[in-house]
Amino acid sequence: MGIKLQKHQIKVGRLVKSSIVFTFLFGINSVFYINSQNSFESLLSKKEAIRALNITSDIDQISFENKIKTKSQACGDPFSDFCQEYLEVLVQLKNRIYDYQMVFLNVLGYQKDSEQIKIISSYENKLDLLIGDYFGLTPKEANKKGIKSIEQYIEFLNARDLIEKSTSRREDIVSQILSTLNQTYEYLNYKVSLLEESSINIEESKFMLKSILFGLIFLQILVFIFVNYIDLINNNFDKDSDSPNRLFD
Amino acid sequence: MKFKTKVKPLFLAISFSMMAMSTGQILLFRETTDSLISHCREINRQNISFYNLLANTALIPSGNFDERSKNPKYCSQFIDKETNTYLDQVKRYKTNDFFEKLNLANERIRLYADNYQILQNKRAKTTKNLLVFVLIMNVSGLAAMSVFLRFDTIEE
Repeated sequence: MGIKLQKHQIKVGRLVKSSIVFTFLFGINSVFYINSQNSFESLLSKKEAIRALNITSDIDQISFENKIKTKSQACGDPFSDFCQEYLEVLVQLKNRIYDYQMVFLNVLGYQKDSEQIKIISSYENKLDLLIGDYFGLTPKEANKKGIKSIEQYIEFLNARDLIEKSTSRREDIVSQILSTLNQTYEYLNYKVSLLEESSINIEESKFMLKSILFGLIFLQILVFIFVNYIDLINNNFDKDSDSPNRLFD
Repeated sequence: MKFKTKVKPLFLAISFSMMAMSTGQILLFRETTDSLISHCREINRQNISFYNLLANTALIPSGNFDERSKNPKYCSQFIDKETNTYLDQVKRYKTNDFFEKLNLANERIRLYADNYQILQNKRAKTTKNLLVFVLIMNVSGLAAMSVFLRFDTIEE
């Protein structure tokens, strides 16, 4: 084997080793990139959820408070249509609290058995019981009985004369409902403000993601150049010029 | 370095592949920015729902809702000059009337919505063109490679 060929093989060997090392680094970096991309997208979703809660909670609280006050007053006669509207508002509020639980679970990443979910769930259960105290049947029980709509619900209550008759007791329940409503939104606003303070800055996260991406691009270009350089020098190498027989030509 | 004749098409094939690869990287890079633009557009959508809610409520809330519904700083990089000029004009108009404030906020949100829509459409078009470019570069690379293989066969 000629010296030139030997030198060429050593050079190619080194280039191959370097390519393998850079490919390995590229592999590690690509895992980082996928993780970083996922956390960046989850951060964006979290920010959207926090912002949505932040801008709508106040107006929801005011609107529910106002509706509960007016509809409960209008529901003086248990058989009036206004009681159906009142029940509708309370079920809407119960569903809204359930929605908040879902946002905390699915978007903000809290576990089902976390303290935060338990607290929000306790507000929902409390409201469920208060609706039961007022109307004689909780929405959970109504669901178990196969009642699907508010109309069916109110028909069931009227048929069995379940709605609470004592005015003072009803007023007491309404004030407890309003207190639960305020507690729920106070807790929600408190949690949202904490999340807003603690969440990572989007610009920082984007910068990190871009840095990893630049690393990925750099390594990919490096591997590409090395491999194609090997290909080029291999094809450009003149084996005949290095043959020992050439000396005797 | 002197190149053999057969290496020239190989060099060309590598260059085409390199261009295709670089364009792929540009597309990957654009993806991050696209996610952020979608996020900004979603925030604006939230503002639209929020102001619709405010317009339909009989009660005037006490909080500073202008501040709460403000667009985040990182979204301002996606606002073009023309929209910025219009936004400045809207900002300059001062009023204490709640419903007039709502109208101004609606106008601001509409400007943002139009801006994001135009921007996303433009980017989608560029992405489409870049993808076609990648395709062309890949095929050209393969064509150059076939020429190289022909020379390689002749040489052997």
